[in-house]
Amino acid sequence: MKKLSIIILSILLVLVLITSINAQEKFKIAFLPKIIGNTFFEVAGANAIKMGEQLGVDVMYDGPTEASVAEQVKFINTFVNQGYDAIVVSALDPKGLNQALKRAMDRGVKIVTWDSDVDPNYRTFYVNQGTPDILGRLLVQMVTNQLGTWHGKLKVAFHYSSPTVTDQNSWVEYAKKIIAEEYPDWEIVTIQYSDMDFPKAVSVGEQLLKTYPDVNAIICPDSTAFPGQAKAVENLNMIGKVIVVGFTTPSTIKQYIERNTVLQGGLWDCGVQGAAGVYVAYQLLKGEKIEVGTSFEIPGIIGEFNVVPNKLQGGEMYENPEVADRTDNGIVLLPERLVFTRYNIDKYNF
Amino acid sequence: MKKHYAANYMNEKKRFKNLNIVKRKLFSWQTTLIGLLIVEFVIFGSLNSRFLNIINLMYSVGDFLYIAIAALAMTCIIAAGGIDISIGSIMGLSSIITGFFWVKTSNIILATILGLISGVVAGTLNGILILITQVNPLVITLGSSFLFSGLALTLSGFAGSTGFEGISGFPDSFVYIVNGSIFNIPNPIWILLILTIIFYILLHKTKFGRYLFLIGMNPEAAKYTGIEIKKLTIYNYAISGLGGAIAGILLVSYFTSARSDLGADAPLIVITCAVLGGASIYGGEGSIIGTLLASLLVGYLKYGLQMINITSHQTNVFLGLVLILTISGRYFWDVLSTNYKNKEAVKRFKKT
Amino acid sequence: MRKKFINIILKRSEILVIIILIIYFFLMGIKNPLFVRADTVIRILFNGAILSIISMGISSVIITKNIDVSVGSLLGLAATFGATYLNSTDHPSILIFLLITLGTGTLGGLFNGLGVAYGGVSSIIMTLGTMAMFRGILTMYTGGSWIDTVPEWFLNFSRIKFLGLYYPIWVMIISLIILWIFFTKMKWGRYIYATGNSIEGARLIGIPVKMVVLSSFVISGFFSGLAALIYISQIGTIPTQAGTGMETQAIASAVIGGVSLMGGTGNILGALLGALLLETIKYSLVFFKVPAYWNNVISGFLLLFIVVITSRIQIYLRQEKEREIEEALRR
Repeated sequence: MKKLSIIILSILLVLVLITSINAQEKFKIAFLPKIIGNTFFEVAGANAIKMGEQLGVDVMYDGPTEASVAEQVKFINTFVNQGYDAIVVSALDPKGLNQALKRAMDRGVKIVTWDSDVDPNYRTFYVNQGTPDILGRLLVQMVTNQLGTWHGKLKVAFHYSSPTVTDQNSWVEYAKKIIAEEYPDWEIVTIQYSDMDFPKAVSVGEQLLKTYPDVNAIICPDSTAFPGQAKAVENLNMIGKVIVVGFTTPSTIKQYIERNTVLQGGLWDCGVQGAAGVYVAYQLLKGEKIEVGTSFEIPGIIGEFNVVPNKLQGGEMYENPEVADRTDNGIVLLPERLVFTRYNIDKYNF
Repeated sequence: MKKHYAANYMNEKKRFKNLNIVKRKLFSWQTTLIGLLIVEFVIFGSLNSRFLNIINLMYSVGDFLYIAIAALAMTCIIAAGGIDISIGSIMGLSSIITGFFWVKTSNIILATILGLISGVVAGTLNGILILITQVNPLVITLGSSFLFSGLALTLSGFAGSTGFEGISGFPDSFVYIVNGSIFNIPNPIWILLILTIIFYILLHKTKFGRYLFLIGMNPEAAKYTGIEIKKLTIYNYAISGLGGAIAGILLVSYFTSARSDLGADAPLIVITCAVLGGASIYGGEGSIIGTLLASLLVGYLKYGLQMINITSHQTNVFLGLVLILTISGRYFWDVLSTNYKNKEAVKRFKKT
Repeated sequence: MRKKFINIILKRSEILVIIILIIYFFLMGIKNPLFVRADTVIRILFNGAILSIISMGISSVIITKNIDVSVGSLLGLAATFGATYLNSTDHPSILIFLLITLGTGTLGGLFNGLGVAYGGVSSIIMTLGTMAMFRGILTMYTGGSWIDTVPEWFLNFSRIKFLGLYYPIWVMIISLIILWIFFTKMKWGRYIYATGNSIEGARLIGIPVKMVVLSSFVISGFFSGLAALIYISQIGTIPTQAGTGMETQAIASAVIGGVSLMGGTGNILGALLGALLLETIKYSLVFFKVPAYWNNVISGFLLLFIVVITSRIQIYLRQEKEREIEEALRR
C-alpha cells in the first residue's frame, strides 16, 4: 500500500514538473449558455464563435445538459481553471453563481452576462435583450395587435416553463402590471407551467383550453410552452378561436404561423446577442472603455447598442446604490426586438 | 464427540476462508477504482497540464461534494436492497426550508437545524410509506419526489421571495462552511472526509450496518433472526433523508442561494456512483470507500473531460461508455480469475 | 360471491386500477364537471399513447427481473433519426422511415440486451450508461438544435380516425393485443415469465435464459421506437430533450398496474392501465383550478395515495383469503 502511494505521488510529481505554461497569444473567451441542446442557445453560440473568428479570439461554447445551477457553477470553475480570460454567461440563477463568479473575478477573469443576468456586483456588463418592461410590453402588445380597434373584456392566461425561471417570470410580472394599469377590463384567469417538456406543454395547453373554455388569449413567453400551446389549439380544433402569442425562435413557430394557429410571435435576434456578448468581453479584455450613457456599433451588425445604467432594469438587485448609476458597470441593450408574422417569418433563419 | 469438534473446526476454517475471499474481492475492486483514478489523472494530466494543478483539483471537490455525500447515504439504502429516487428533491426541500426559516427568524443555526430535520422527516415518511404499502421503494420515492419538490416550490413562494429569485443574503459564517478552508485545505475535502468516516463506521463497523446488509441479502432470513426490519428500514431512510438534507444545505452554502430545484439533477448520478463503487442494486453489497472512490472518479472524469475541451454532448457518451466498460470489465475479470483459480486448484489436487 | 370477487382482484390487479380510474373520474366530475366528457377520455388515450406503449415494452424487461432506464433516451434518438429522414428528401418512403425509427429502437434494445445478457453488466448500470450515451449521440447528431418541423402530410397521420379513434390509439390497442398473445399464448412469452421467476430454475429446465433476457430488451427497444413514431406524428417537433423522464414514469406505470420489480409477475394490460392512470392524473391537474405551483404537490400526493390504497387493499384481500383457506382447512 505504501509502495503504491509512493508510486502515485511520484507519477503526479513528474507530471506536475513537466507542465510548462503556454505562452498566450490569443484571448480565450468561454461562452456559457443555460443549457445546451436548445435552438436558442445553439444559435447564440454559433454566432458567438463566428464573432470570435472575426475578432481573432478563441471562443469556446459549452454548458450543462440539464438546467442545473450546480452544473453551471462547475462549468464556470473549470473555465477559470483552464485559464480563460473572460466568461460570457447566461445565468440559471441570479444569485447562485455569485461565489463562482467572485472567484473568477479575483483571478482577473472578466465576466459579461447575456440573456439572463446576475447581481451587477459580479459582472461588468449585461447584454440585455430588453428590460422586463420592454419585453412585458411586447407580450401585451402582440395581443392588442390582434384585437384591432376592439376594446372590452378579455380573458387572458399565461403558460410558460416554471415559477423558478428568472427572466420569464420577470417579463410576466411586468406584463401583469401593464395589464392591471392599462387594460383594467382584462382578466388573468390562470398561470400554468410545463417545465420545458414538450408533451407536457401540449397536455397542459389542452387542459387549459378545456378548463377555461372562454379564454381569449394565451401568452407563452417560453420556447417550449409556446409551440406546445399552439399544438394544443390545433389538437382541439380551436384555430382562430383563441389568440396565442409568445417568445420562441422563428424556426420553431413557423409551422404554426403557416397554419394560422399563431399570428404573431416575438423574440430578439439571439445570434446578435451572442455575438455582442463576445464583442463586449473582447473590448473589456483589450482595455477599451465602454461607458454607461453612450452607445456603440458592432461591425457587421445593424443598429446601435445603447449602454444604460443598471437601475433601468428595476428591482432590488439593480437599485442598490453601489451599482445603480455606475459608469463602468451597466446594461448593453440590443438594438431591436423582433415580431414574426406570416409576412416576415421567412426572412429569419434561426 | 471429538470428531464432531474437528468437523466444526474445519467448517469454521472454511467459512473464515470464504470471508477472506469476499474481503479480498472487495478490496480488489477498490484497488481497481484507485487504479482507474490514477489512469484518469495520468491521461488528463498529459493532455492538459493545467489539470494537475493541485489547488484547482482540491477546490473542484466542492463542485461534486453534494453528489458524493448523497451517494454515501444512497450506499446504505442500496445495501439494504432499497433505492431512494427522492434524494434530489429532499436536497431542494431542505435548502428551501433552511432559506425560509433564515428569512423568517434570522437565526441561521436554527434554520440549518430545521433544514436537517426536514430531511429526516422526509426520509422517515419514505420509510413509513414503503413499510405500509410494501410497494417497491422506486415507486414510493418517485411519488414522494414529486411531493417534496412541489412543497419546496410552494414554500419558496411563501418565503416572501418569488420562486424564481431564490432566497439569498445568507451570513458569511454560513457561506464559509463550504467556501472556506482550514490549514489551506478547502472545507469540502474535510467535510467529505468526516462524513465518509462516519458512514464507514455506520455501515461497516456497527451492528446496524451488518443488519442492513443482511436485510438486503435476504429479508426473509433477516426476519427469522429477529432483526426489527421495520425499525431499521425507517432509520435507514431517515439517514438517507438526512444525507440529502446535508447535501442540500451545503449546496446553499456553496451557492449562497436557496432554490427549490437544487439537486434535481442528482438522483441518477448518485445511484451511478454508489453502484460503480460496488453496491449491488439487488441489495446485500455495498462499500462506503468504494462509493467515495467512484464519486471522485466520476467527478474528476467530468472535470477532466471539460479541461481537455470535450463538450458535454460528448461527455455524456464517454460517461456512459466508461460506466459500461468498467463494470463489464470487472465481470470478465472475475470470470477469468475464477477460471484460473479453479484450474490451479484442479492441478494442485491432481498432484497430491 | 365475495370470495369470487376477492379471487378476481387478487389474480387481476388491473381490475383494481380500472376501479380506481372510475372512482377518480367520478370524484373529478364532482370537482369540475368539465373534466367528465367523452372528449377528455379520447384526449387522455391520445396523449397517453406514447407512455403506455413504452410502459408495455418496458414490462417485458421488468418481468425478467431487469430494468431499463434508457427507454426515454432511446425514444428521443429514434424520433430524431426518423424525423431527420422525413425532412431529408422530398419524397420520403414510409418503409425506410419505419425501418429507421423502429430499427433504431430495436438496435438500441439489442445493445442493452447484449450488455446485460452476455456482458455481465447489471441492467441498471447498463441502461444508465446507454441512457447517457443515446442522449449524447442524439445531441451530437443534431448539433444541439431541435428538429422543428416534419412534413405536414405526416403530421396529419396522427389525426386519421378509424371507427372514431385516432390512429395512435389504434397503435396502442394493436400493441396490446400482440403483446397479450405473445405473453399468454406463445412459448417464448412464458419463458420470459419463467426467467423472471427464477433464473436458475429456468436454466435448469432448459430455457435459454440469456437469449430470453436479450429478447426482452429487444422488445423494450422496439416499443421505444414505436413510441418515437407516434411522438413524431403527434408532437411534430423533436427537442433534444425528447423523452427525458419517460423512464421513471413508465416504470411507475408498470408497477402500479401490477408488474412486480421482483420479476415473474404482472401483465401487459396492467402496465397499459397504469400508464393511463398516470396520464389521467397528469391530464386533470389544471382542472383542479388551484395555483399551478401546487400541481407537483398534488400529483405526488395522488400517486402516493393511490399506491398506498391499492397496496393496502391487496394486502387486506390476501390476508382475507389466507384466513378463508385456514378456516376451510380447520373445517
